[in-house]
Amino acid sequence: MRIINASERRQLVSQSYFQHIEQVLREYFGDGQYSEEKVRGGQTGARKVIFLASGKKYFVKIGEKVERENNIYQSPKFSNKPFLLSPILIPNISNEVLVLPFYDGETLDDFILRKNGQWGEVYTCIRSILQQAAKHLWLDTLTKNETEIAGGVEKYMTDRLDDLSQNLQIQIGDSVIGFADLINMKIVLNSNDERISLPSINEMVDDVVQLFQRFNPPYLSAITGDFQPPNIILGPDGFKVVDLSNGDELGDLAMDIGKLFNFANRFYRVAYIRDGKAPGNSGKAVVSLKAGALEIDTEYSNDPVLQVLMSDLEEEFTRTIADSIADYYLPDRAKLYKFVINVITIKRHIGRRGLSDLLLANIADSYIEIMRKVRSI
Amino acid sequence: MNIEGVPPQPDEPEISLNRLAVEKEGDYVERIRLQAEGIIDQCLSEYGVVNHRVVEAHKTRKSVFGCVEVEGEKRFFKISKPSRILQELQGYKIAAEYPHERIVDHFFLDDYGLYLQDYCEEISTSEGQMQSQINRILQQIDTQDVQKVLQGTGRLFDTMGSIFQRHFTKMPLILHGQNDRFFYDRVKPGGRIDQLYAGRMFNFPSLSESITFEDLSKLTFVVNGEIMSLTLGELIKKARHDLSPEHNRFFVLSQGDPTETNMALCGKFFDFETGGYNDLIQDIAIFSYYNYSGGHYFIPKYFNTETLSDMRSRDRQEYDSLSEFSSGVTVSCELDRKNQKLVVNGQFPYPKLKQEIYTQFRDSVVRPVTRLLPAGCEQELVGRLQSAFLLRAIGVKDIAGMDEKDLILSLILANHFAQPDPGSGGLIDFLDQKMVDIHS
Repeated sequence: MRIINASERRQLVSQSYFQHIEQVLREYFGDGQYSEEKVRGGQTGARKVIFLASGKKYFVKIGEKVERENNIYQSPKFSNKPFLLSPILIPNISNEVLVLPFYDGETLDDFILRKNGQWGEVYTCIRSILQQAAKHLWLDTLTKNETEIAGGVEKYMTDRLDDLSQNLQIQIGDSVIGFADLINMKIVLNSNDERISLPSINEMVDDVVQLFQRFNPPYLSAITGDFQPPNIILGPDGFKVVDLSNGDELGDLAMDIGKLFNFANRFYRVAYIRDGKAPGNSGKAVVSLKAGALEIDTEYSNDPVLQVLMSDLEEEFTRTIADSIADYYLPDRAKLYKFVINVITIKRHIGRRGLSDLLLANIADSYIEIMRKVRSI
Repeated sequence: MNIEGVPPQPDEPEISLNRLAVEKEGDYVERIRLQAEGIIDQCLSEYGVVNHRVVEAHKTRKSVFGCVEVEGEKRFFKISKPSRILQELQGYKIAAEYPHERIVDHFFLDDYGLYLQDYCEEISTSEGQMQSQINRILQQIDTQDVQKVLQGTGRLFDTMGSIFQRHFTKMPLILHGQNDRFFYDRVKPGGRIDQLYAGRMFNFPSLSESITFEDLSKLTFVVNGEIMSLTLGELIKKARHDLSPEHNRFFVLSQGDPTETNMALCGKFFDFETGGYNDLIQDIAIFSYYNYSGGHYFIPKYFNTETLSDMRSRDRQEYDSLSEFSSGVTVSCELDRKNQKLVVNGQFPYPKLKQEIYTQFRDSVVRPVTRLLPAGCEQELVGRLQSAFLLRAIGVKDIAGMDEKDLILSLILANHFAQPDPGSGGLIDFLDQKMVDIHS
């Protein structure tokens, strides 16, 4: 048994089906063909390609989770949103194919990299994106919530951890241990001259689920489910959020917010290495086994100004939303979701060279944030 | 921050908490204690904690705070509107680098927010509070502990200085700071200055005159013989421009309201309601003005009376003895209607201890961070600092509601800090010239 990675999953969309879709598109547009241009991003098995017709570009996505994404696009809660693209509805095409007008721009993560040091511009840009998303999506689709979300969040995490526990063996130094054992080991994080003892990942999960029980949201709303810089494109017509494959008509807006700030706080290190954008100093983490515990040594620190600006923006923004809808635990939940996101993303990223250690460091770091900004302050 | 589609939050009035707005009669303190007990019980019982007892409760206009024993352990507690508690937690989270007592839990009910904090024995006694200890020395209640106070303040400023430098924005930013609410939000059209003073009569019983704010704003001030170059109206207009968050500004990570009441000599900071990224200039103005005139004069004199009624006798003694310092403060005033001039004279001594504390602040906090400023920007910053001082002079307390002496003194102080700097144009020079005795 082994994990099939994203590029292998993409191969599962058969070549003949891929060509068949090209023919359908050609018939619809009158001419055209797939472009050789590479499309970056996305960690699902869906195959993504640019289709060129009459001098115009279209983004085509085929395969895993696309049917779900099409359904999200067609939901009234997601229609007429200025920052969402409108799919082109092509008759007789499978719901597993999504065709969008190609939005030519710069992803938000590229913008942040390019503006390195000009943090005022980064701050203003992200704030504006958050404000628009709040106005047009999260607050525009509020529904009173009568359910407990903690169970769902727990399942979201444990399903993935259980999957990995069945299959995965991890080599740490000279030792090989099962993933199930790894997530039961206590953790020590050495970061910026601090040595912090932490519970095991399984214990952290239990703790976070308990906190979710306490902080249940009074409202649910439409969320994109993957509101992070690589999925946000800045272009001539403002910003557009792409990839609604994890979208939800009744989700917790704290999840979208948490995802964005988790990227700004720590996940960018994983994403930049993954996407080949890593600047030389983006840092690394090294996991070792010491005295029966996982010891994680990190060799990075965030820019102190950007760190405070993002913290300022996160707290100010979540407080403003929390105040406006009397959801006073929203700032807490946004932090809980950061941890959740770091746990669930293991499945997609573990095994990639250089990422596994960073992923564990991110889980530990996001749990420390909960200890210091939720549990006690 | 404004989110379109979200109704703007009104400037929060200085409200009483609904259920806690009790009459100040009879067993006032006991009733406050019992009400706090009820709210805390509602929060804690949900988590199975039943063993708790409020041992001390105080009320301000915005909150109830005090000490509660939870399962045998003392905690500081604060109850206020949920939005206010959220705001305060926000500051603690952003400015977490400042040493502070740990907030161990927080709760939100429909009408209230509550947080529980580690109990600081030192701050609970007047010996540990910076302002209290300074005032005790100034009033010669304690004379032994000057060095202890200076050690404590020195440690606090070392902390501030190093955090200021670490997070200083060498590239200026256009950003709303957390404590802009003390500055631009008050001076902007329709803000607190307009709300307090528009159409208001300023009474000068010694002149048998009452002057509207609008007329006062047009008068030329002559302060201790010096003709001021700008009228009060012009100073306010300048402040609206200078303090606008739409300008590029230099920010520091700060506790947000660095006054003597928000720092303890043990090295800890309190009250993070405006903690976060704040304009460097505004933080300097808050500390300096409070040091110069707030902690030992205006604040004790115009302290919230509800809290005073609840004070321990020892603290009362300290505040009552303010009169000794007050006797050294003299003012006089003449109105020259024909020439549209208000001639004010006054003296305001600057106690030596306060001066020493200012020097520490200057050397540990201001000087290191000014070294990080790009060349050539200090002159503009001095202009903005003057405007920030104006807001401290007329925008913290309602000066029209003060007695005549303090109304005149406030006008003198506003002009004292507003008068152009004849020095090198640097921030340190400006401060050194202003943080001195005022002689008539």
